[in-house]
Amino acid sequence: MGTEVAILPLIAAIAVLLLTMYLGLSAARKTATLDDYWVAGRGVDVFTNASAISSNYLSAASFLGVPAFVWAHGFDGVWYATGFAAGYILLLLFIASPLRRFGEYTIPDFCAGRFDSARLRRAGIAWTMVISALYIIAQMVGVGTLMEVVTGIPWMWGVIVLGGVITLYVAFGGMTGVTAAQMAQFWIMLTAMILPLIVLMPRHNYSELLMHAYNDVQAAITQPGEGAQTVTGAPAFTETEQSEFGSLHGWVSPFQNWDLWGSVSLLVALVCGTAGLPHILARFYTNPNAKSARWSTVWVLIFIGVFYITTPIWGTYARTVLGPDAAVRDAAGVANPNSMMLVTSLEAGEWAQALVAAGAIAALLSTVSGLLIALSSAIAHDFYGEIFRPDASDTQKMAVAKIAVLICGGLAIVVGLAFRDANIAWMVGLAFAVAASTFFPLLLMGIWWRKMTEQGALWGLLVGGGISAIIVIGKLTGIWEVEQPAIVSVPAAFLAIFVVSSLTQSKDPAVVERLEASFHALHHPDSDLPKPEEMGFASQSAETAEVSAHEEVETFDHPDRGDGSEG
Amino acid sequence: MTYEQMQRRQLKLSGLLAVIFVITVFSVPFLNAAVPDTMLTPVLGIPFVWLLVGVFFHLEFWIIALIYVTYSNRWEDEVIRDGN
Repeated sequence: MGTEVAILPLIAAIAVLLLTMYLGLSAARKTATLDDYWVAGRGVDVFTNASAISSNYLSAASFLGVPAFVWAHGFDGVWYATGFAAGYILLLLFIASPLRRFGEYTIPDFCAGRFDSARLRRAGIAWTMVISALYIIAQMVGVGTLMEVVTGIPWMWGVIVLGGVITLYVAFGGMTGVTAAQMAQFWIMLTAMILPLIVLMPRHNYSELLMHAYNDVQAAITQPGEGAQTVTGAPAFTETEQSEFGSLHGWVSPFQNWDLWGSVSLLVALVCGTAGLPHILARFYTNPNAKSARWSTVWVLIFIGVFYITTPIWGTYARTVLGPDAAVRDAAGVANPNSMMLVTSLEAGEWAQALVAAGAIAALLSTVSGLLIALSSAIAHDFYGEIFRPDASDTQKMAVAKIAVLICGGLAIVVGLAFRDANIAWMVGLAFAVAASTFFPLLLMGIWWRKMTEQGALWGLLVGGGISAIIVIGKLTGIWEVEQPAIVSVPAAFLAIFVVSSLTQSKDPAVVERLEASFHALHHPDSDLPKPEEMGFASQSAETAEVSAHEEVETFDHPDRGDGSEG
Repeated sequence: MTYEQMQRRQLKLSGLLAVIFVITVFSVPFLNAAVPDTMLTPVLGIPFVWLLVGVFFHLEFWIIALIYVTYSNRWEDEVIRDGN
């Protein structure tokens, strides 16, 4: 790969684009209501939603970046891979099913509904936009880089073309279209990760390669000056890398990229951040009920687990078979890590390289489309539909939704073009850290602590987000070297919520009753049952049971819901 | 089973599984720092920490997830069945 255009990867990339356009736009016919547009009619089955959530989560940073990180930094890349997957455990144990049971469309909806607070909705909108904007700008920069590597077209045109395609199909297909496309994209990605390895592994199995790296320390001792070698006898590192690692054994060892506390803080950000990412959380609203939201998360863990298990195999193959030649380098010898998967897959054949190109494009399309939904829903649903014009008709809201997607997509392209030299990994890491410090504490405590108050939630967002910002600004201005704010900001946000909520307990029975009702709506399994009119009252016994079941639930009237949709 | 009992049981189970998850996952960096050679000892033909983090942790996540979902769903069914 280089500046020349490889035909098969180009064809594969175009095929994925056309398939995505077809799936996204053909869903436009099925997108008749706001429920269809924002939450795919809440009718997405477990398998489809698990595939779509996995696809939404696995961006090019996972598809191209994590294997390349293993190739470049060894074990610390494995840590990254597992950290990404680990995030879904807390999401499953504490958040996914209550959040779905609460109903609604967005995270700002949860903020407003749980605490009956318009102020919290505004704060929720602001943080959704900050997190999603950081994430989407990084993805847009990645779009250009990837298109340049895969197809050879100039970076700027890559951003414009791919960004434009995504914006169009999201605008017209909404969440229904995004779901159909994301499901297909996930299976393209997983196939691209696994199939080439099935061809490559019989040549050099994983154990053989890793043990070659592990035993290389002996060679480095007995043959000083020789340098670490790949299994083919070629140098395993560039001269710079050789001085960094010493031997391949060093590459196998932890703490090559982060120290002990850096590793811990990264894990805190990944684990807590995943459970606070608005574009991921919104997907749980598309399940029909809380049980299916739970099962979706289990399948997500399995799907992305299989995906991430393959990433160290790719990185190890690249380092121990191809060495420093596993990536395209510029004239100054600086490697482009985004090219590692494409170069390495060529070992299995041109078909494998084309498959990897298709997987990479699918990874970008799926994540950007999910982010566009999150960003535009904050504007169209939360701001326009709930604050600015709550009395607008559904037709008007639908029109604004489509315009919001077009504007957000256009802005993402323009800002992405302006941030060409941005550090993508840092921006994504920052999005995780901010999500971990803001929405994660609010959701976890809001769902499980009945005494949490509106003021506690507001201070939690302020303290968690504020400390993240201070640490990042300090790093950017050279005041300190701390890169990962999560290890400080997450506990601080929890503490702020606890202290402020404890100090602001209301004695007003109406407020207490309202908070208790919203708490009940999060947890009581009755909330999953369809409304009586949806049951059609097939029999008298069913009627009696349902009326009984709903008497309690309907004591909680979502403050911002005017459409009578299920809670 | 009552709704309140179910909620307490769910929280207790989630808490227990979360503690297991946090202890196993977050102990690895500290063990890597304390006993680096032991953590790199080959097991099943792969340095132990690579096997642990790269494969075994995923198996642990799947088991935790299956335990949680199985019990949570069962308890919720009991609450609905008992009309509480």
